[in-house]
Amino acid sequence: MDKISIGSNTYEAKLRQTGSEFKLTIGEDNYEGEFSRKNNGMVQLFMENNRLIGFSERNGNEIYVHINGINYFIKRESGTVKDASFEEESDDTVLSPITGKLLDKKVKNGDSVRKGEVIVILEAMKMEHRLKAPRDGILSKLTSAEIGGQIKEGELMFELEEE
Amino acid sequence: MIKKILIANRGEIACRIIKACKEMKIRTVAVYSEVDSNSPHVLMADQAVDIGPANPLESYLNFDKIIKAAKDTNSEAIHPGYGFLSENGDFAQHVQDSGLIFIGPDPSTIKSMGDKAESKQMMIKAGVPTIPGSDGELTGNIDAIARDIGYPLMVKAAAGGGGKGMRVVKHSDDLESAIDAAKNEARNSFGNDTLILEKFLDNPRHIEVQILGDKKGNIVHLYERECSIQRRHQKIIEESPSPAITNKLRSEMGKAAIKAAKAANYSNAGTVEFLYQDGDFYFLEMNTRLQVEHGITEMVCGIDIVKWQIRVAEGEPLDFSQKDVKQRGHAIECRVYAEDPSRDFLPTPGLIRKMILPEGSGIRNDVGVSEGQEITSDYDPLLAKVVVWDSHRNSAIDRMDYALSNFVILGLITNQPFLRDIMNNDSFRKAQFSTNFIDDNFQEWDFNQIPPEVLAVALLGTKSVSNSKISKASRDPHSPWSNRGGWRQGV
Repeated sequence: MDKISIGSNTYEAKLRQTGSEFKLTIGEDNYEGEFSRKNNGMVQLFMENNRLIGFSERNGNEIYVHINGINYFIKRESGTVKDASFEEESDDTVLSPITGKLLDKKVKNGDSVRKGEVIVILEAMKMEHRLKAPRDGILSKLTSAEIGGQIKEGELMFELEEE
Repeated sequence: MIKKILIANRGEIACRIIKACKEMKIRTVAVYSEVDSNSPHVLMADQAVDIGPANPLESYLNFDKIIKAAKDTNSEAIHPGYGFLSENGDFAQHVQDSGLIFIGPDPSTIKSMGDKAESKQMMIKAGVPTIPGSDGELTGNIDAIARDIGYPLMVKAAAGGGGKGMRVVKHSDDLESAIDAAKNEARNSFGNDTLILEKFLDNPRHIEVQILGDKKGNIVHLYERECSIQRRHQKIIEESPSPAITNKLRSEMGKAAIKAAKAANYSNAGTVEFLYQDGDFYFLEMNTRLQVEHGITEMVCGIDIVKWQIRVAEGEPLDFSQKDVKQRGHAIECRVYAEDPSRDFLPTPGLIRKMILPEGSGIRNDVGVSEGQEITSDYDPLLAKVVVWDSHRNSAIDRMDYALSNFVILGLITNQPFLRDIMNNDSFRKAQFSTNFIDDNFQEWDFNQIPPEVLAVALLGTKSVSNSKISKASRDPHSPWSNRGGWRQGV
């Protein structure tokens, strides 16, 4: 069973393949079809009396699919293995939403901050992103990246402790 | 006649300009930063010069390196494209002082129109309608000025453009932080943090007029472009003609644009931007450069704007007059960006693992990236512009939807699915929209129901393909897919 997410949709999906035939289970629903692979990453499907042409590319757990005229970005997680590199974001923890450059840090660890106060400023593709405190608190674990340094998406930017 | 042009830009616009030069048998010189050494514009040009690190201040924004590259390669002229140094009057002056031709208007025109405060005063004098706001540069008691104009208001970089250094402020509490942010962005993007305040029109359309002038004082307009579909104050879809205005208004806006251009003593290509609301239009700004969306005007008017920029810069007069310029049919542009519409349009760098461009009659792709290229966070996330033309607006929308649906781009997140949703949106189809269109219709955008075949391809396609396994032929010999001639690898 794979856990697949596309945007905010998440599916439990399983694919079984016998020769050119496949059976796909998504949640409670079952589908059957035939497929063949073509050059250049092209996949041809026969499903529910339709013939469909798709493309896919993969990079680790990320899968990129073009089908029905739409380019999809898909994250795949194997049911048992938890991806450890992504931290959970909560009211106390703020992660970088982008990959880009650290422009400024407005406060330092131990400072008390108010809800809505700008803590760090990031920049990507010439646009500024201001990360604000989600609530009142004491700042901790502020990113140790240097001003001007690179920040990766999902990287911890800061945490808040109770006052 | 100019024999060699240096293009002081990158990406799709550098490619676009190089193509025009090649048609005119003019030799081309590309410049590139170290992350761009294998970019399409570098590979297309006759020569290419390394101008340093990725940081634009040390490469694409560096006067001295660019002028030296032009001198070293015996270029006679510099085309700045859009963005970067295109609206920097000091740069244009340096180019001229170095004995080179700057392909654009006179440096003094760029300077006066680039300063939003000064240009506004000039338009008021010329009798072009303008938006109420702070008269000139923002000094003194800013809170009081803001109160006089009234909220909501807009904080804008005087040197700005392209949505950078702009903030809408709804309450006085947010004024200070908006001014700080706009100042920072303005300083980083334009090297000038002067700001102005303006009344914020709550439901306007953005309609702009393309103008073209020669050095003999002839100025024509090439009609309007409707550019209301924007996110983050940046256009993503443009069309010409505007479905919103009558022929009478069209002609008034054209005349106002020419009045504005004459007041600025304009030559070369430029754009007069207006906001339009409730039957009135107001001068917004004049862009003294080639516009991203110039392609749709080229499609409806049948005039190659880039070639005319070069001819005019050589001193050639326009060989047509206003009455010769006709709008024919309807053209639409969609900008394909590396950004995530489900996450507030955040930029999404990545590697282009596969790209197949749409083809067909009336479809034009202006592209500056290629398969295998890494899209970094150093520059603007614009990947490609898809431009279509057809006889009527509805059929042009259908054609655009077709073109977008045949745009395969894998390896990074793009706004392609979002653009398709707009093409199929009722309000868009009925031409009922303002610059608030995306906020009004696509808040919290996400994919609709995901059909099972998406997951099937995702899970099937990840198995490795061995060459011997590639199947012989599709079961339908007449299928267009059994002969893949219709698909061509991108650029």
